[in-house]
Amino acid sequence: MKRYLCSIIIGMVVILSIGTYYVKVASSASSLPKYTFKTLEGSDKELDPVIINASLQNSSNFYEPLTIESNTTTYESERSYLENLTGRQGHEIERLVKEHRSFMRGKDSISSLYEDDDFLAYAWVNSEYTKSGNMEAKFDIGLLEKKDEEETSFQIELPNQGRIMNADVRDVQLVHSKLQVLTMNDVNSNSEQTKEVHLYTIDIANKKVLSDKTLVSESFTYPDQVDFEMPIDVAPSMPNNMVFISLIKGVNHEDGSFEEKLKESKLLSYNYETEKLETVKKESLSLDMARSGYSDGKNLYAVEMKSGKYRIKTFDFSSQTLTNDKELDIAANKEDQYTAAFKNGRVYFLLNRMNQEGKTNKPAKLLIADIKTGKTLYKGETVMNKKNSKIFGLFIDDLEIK
Amino acid sequence: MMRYIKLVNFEINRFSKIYLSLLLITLVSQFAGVIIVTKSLLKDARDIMKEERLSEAAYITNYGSLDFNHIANTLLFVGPIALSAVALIFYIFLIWYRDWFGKNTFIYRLLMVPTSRLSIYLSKATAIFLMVLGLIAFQIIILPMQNALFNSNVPEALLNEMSISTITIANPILSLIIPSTFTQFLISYGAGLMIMSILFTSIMFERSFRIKGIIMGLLYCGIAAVLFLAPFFVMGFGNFHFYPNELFGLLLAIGIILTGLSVWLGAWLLKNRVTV
Repeated sequence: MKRYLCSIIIGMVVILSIGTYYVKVASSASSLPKYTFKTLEGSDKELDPVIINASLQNSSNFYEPLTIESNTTTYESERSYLENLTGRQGHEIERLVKEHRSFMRGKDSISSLYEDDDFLAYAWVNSEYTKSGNMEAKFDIGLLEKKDEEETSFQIELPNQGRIMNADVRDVQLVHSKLQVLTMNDVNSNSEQTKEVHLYTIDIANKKVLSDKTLVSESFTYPDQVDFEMPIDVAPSMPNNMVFISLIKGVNHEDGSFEEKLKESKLLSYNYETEKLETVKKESLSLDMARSGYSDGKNLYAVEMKSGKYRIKTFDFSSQTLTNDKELDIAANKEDQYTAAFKNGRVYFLLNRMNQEGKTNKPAKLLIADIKTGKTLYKGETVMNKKNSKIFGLFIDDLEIK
Repeated sequence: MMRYIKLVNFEINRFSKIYLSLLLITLVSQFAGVIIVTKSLLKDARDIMKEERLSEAAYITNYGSLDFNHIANTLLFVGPIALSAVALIFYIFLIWYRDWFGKNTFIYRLLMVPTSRLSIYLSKATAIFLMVLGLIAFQIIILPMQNALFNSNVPEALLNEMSISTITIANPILSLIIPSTFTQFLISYGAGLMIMSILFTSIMFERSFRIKGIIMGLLYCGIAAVLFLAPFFVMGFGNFHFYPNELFGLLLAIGIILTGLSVWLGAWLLKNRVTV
């Protein structure tokens, strides 16, 4: 026995120490505080489709990502290795992967996807930079006919790519069986900078780019600056007729600060059906509202804070008018940060106060209301199952609705 | 089976002197590191506070509090880990070649042992793997002690206490040797086993065919690498995309096959081709 002492000691130490360590790691994950929403008003059934991506942090180096789904908290460290390998994906992408696994390979950008009852389409600009610094770019195009699962995929050269430095797909639509791809491009030029919004029309049957239309082109030189913005798309893959583009002009000051020149900025709308590009009149929809708004293809919703209350304004695309303006039954505070989502005819409104050092954390509040009537359907706030977890702060990343 | 255990024990005993030295160096150097670096950190902090007339709270807001990361990034702490790693990687080769080039060509006796050659191959692999894990286990044992020592030496006002798991996540070298989850641990050390078996087999090639064998060994390593990375080549050049779990499954399967193949080929060479 004595001869084996060395090996036995090493073996024992290995098993005991490594074993204990990983048992402890596993058990410390389950000792993290769990958040749930305590119902203050309405039915907690409303919580079922709510997914909140957040993280638990403290002032030093503690960081634990978590998800509150259907009112249950799950930490990333509690998930299996394989689940974490796939990472955090939007539930929309997750659903599409489940339904069309083969077609969805390598397609993970929701704004590059278009889905209606019959088709699922995809467009992406695949770019590489050559040694001389030029961009070589191709469109990755995919179309799936849902009925017979027939896939078409091909690559075509991006037109006029010599002058383009970067192309970013922002919206994809299928109009009269032609693929419409809206991109924001940075253009190569010597002295000045140029940013453009392009609309490419692609004939899928003949694998051809039919047209390359420049919707907007803005050139500027430093310290001037121009940026294009689009409202947050709450239904990015759904068919819609209209897109809004805010054209924001500004100037960079010498001290490094940036000042927007809102008077020279404007709001544009483009209608895929009529192919008309228009400047939206301030009276019907303000630039401010469009920039901070959420679009679902039919309406644009904007959150406004006015005299201690939040209001939800609805702008209807087809009639081009404000159709609704409802007050939410939740107190507003400048220190609060809101995260909003619009789906199923409801507004989901999450308020969270960023915790400051030394202050106890306020619970996050969630309000679910009917967009049309403004009626509160649910109101609740987070509670922790552990009392001693005050040092932790809950940081909300985003709010998703199934 | 008993022969195999005896052989493992034999291999471990043969390396025990160097192994104990490695443990001792790690222990002394790391604890010295904790004490010395803590002292100099505190001295620097006090100097800055004096120079800039800062209170402890003001110092923390300007320069941040002191945490174990400061220690874990120093040479005294990381050095012995690197030394042990290098020593064991070196021993992957030495564990075979010392038998041929040692004082009294020991391989004669070893190959005469009435046991399957596979046991010899496996016992050497096990010995190295066990010693690697032993070093990791040792680090896991002394890390909480070092952390406690650090926490007791730094005044509470300047201290940012870290848990062991946070320390191992925050430090790149510690997170490499002590993965944050058990699954990751199995994957990392499984990959280590695969690489070791491939190296062993390359050594067997060299021992079997000498000069020609070196080329064959290198070729074998290259083929193994290409095979293992094949899914990535398919994704890069074949324009095909694997989902993460498919990619993981493929790599796992290829890894297991490669390890099995290497062990089988290595043992076969040892049995049929290795000459003394």
